[in-house]
Amino acid sequence: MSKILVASALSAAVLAWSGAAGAQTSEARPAFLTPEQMNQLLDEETRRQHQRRVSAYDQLKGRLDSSIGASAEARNLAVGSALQMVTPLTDIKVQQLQQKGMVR
Amino acid sequence: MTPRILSVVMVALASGCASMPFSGPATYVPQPQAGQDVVENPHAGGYSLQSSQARSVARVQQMVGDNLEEHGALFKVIVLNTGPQPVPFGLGSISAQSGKTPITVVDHNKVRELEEAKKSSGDAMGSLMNAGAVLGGILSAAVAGVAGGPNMSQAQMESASQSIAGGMVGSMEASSKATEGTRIASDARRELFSLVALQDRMLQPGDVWGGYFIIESKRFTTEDTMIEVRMGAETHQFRFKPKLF
Repeated sequence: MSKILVASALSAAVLAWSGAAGAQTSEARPAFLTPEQMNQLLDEETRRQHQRRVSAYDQLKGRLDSSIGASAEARNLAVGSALQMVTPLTDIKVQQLQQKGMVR
Repeated sequence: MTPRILSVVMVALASGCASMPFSGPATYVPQPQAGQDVVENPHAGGYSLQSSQARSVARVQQMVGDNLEEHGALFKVIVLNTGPQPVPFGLGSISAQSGKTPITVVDHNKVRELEEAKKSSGDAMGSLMNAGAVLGGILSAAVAGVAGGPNMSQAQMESASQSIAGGMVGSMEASSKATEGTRIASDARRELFSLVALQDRMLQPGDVWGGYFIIESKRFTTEDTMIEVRMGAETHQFRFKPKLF
C-alpha cells in the first residue's frame, strides 16, 4: 500500500513539474509565432505608436503653434493691421494624422 | 513711419529665421538591404524598412513634417523580440552614422540643451528687434526735425512725437510677443518629445515595443546614413540615402 502511495506521489510530482516546465517553455518560445502573427504584432504596435503621436499633438497643439501665432500677432502689431494671420498649423496636422488613420 | 518700417523688417527677419524652408533636416530614401522588406505604414502613410533576424524583427521609418524636426530627422522604430531571452531596449540601443561620422541620437538631456539654445537665440532676436525699434524712433525724430524745420508748428511737432513714440512701443510689444511665443513653443516641443520618444523597456520573449527617436542630421549631406538597431546580440542595419532635391 505504501509503495502505491509513494508511486502515486512521485508520478503526481513528475506531472506537476512537467506541466510547469511546459508552461515555461511555451512562454519562452515566441519562435512559434508565424510570420503572419509577427506582422500582426508589428502592425498593431505601429498603430499604437501612431495614435500616441496623434494624442500628443492634440494635447499640445495650442502651445506648439504659439510661436507661429505670436509671430503673426507681432507682424499685425508692427504693421498696425487688423488682419488675422494666425494659421493653426498643428490643428491641420492633427486632422491629417487622424484622417490617415481613418482612411484605412 | 521709419520705426514702423524698421520694425516690420526686424519682425519679418525674426519670423523668417524661425521658418526658413532650408533649415529642416534631410529627407531620406530607404535603401532596403538583403533580407529586408519595405512595409507600408497604413496609419501615418509612407513606408518602413523591416529587418528580420533569428531572434528579433525591427522596423524603422522616417516621419516627416514634425515639430521635433527642429532638432534633426525624426524616425519611428518598432521591434519584436522573437528570441527565448528577455532583451533590454531603448534609445541607447540605437546609433547612427553618416559615412564614417557618428551622428548623435537625441535624448531627453540633448533636447533640453537644444531648446535652451533656441530660447537664448529667441531672446537675442527680441533684443535686436527692440534695438531696431529704438533706432527707428531716433531716426524718425531726426528726419521729422530736419523736414519740419522752423516752419513746424507746436501741434505738428507733438503729433509727430506721438506717432514716433507709438511706433516704438508697438514694435517693442511685437518683439516681446515673439519672444514669449518662442518660449512657449520650446517648452511644448520638450513635452512632445517626452510623450512620443522611445522609452526604455525590458522586452520579454514575444514582446513588441516602439517609439520615436531623432538623429541630429544636417540638411545638406551626400553620404548615406546608417541607422543601427541593437536587440540583444543582434544588430539590424538600415541604410538611408539623403534626398537632395
